[in-house]
Amino acid sequence: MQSQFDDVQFMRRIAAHDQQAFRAIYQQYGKAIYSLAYRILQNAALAEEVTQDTFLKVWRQKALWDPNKGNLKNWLLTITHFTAIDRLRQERRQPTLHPDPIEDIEEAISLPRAETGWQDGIALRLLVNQLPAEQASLIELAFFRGMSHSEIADETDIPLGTVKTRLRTGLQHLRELWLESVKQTSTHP
Amino acid sequence: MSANPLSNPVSDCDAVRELIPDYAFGLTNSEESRLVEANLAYCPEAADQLADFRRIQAEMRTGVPQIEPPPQLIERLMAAIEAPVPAKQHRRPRIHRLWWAVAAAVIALIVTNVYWLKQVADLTQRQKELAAQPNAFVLASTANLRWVRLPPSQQNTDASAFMMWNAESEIGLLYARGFPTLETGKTYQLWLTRGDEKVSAGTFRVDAEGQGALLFHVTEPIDKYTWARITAEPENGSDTPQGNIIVVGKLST
Repeated sequence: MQSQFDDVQFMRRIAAHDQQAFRAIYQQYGKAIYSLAYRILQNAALAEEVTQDTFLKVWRQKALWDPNKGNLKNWLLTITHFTAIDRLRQERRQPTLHPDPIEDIEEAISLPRAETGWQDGIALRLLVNQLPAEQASLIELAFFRGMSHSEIADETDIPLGTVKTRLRTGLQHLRELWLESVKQTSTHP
Repeated sequence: MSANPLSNPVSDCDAVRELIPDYAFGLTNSEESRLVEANLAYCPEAADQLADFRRIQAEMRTGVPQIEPPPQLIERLMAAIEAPVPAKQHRRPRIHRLWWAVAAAVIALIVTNVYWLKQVADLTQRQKELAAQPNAFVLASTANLRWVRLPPSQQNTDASAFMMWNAESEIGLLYARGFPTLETGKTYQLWLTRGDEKVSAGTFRVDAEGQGALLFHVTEPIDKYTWARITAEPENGSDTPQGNIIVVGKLST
């Protein structure tokens, strides 16, 4: 909880336009944000732009973080994710999914139950790798490329109905694996 | 709590639960999304499932391979927050793409030399002296090319400029867009500054659409300067900036 407390303090200082606090937040989370943007966009220049956009939204108070609804890192990464997906869709000349990403974040960010990621999400990657390849690849397209069912069907040449079934099955399977891993982690610290 | 609106809570909650994976990953259509959002409060199992997926997504975001951002990114960010904040934020979702396109077009123009000299010949006398082909090639062909976007000052929210230069050279290229059309007898002037020193890098005009370009030359490597700004000045330029600042930005060195 100490980190959460520090985040609150830093964000208050940023609201008061404290540049040192802004630099500190960047040093704390810039790498995670850039990495996610790069993972989605696969392009260093675009990842830089999305990272910059994300931090400027924070600085200009276009996005307001509510500590009661989730930790700062997840909030920043959610903004990054939406911004990067929209940038990716612009590059592909597709309509944006989040005309104003900030408005969609509150719904997407609320994180009840445990607050922090398990081993920084590395374990989740391993869980995804346990899924059948045809399910994992569709989850990848939906989550990291922001594709709809029909866009995935077009991209993969898989019938639309099959895409829907595989994705849903894959996501349910992923949740089962995740719940089991959380359970094991809590019983075997 | 208001009355449960579900006509058949058990089967309706089954339908909501069925939609949760798609809903969590943004794959439901608007009707399905409305169904989920309207009934989530009455379907605790579905709400739990959604919470699990939110957590999974958070871990997927943090679990990506970690890459160090370029070291200059923080300095560019700090420069961006030091610049004046526009009074009114206009949504410009494709601005970065436009700038890349402009940069690519300008570089291509220089490299291919297609009517570039003719264009710069229309600019000021100083530009004419600098528009020699070898200079242009020095700018475009080196590995140490730097660039920065100069954001608008508070009074001119549509104006912006893109400047690029070589780290070791005294030659730079400026592309301006969205600039106000100037009255007769006025011109735009580019200034490079460090501390109290303000050096004129040349003057230029913009067309009816507010676009203009300037190939400029200063006596020291551009990296030695810390800020660039463009002001509106009398037709022949000023010795020191006197007019309104149109755009201003920190040079990321």
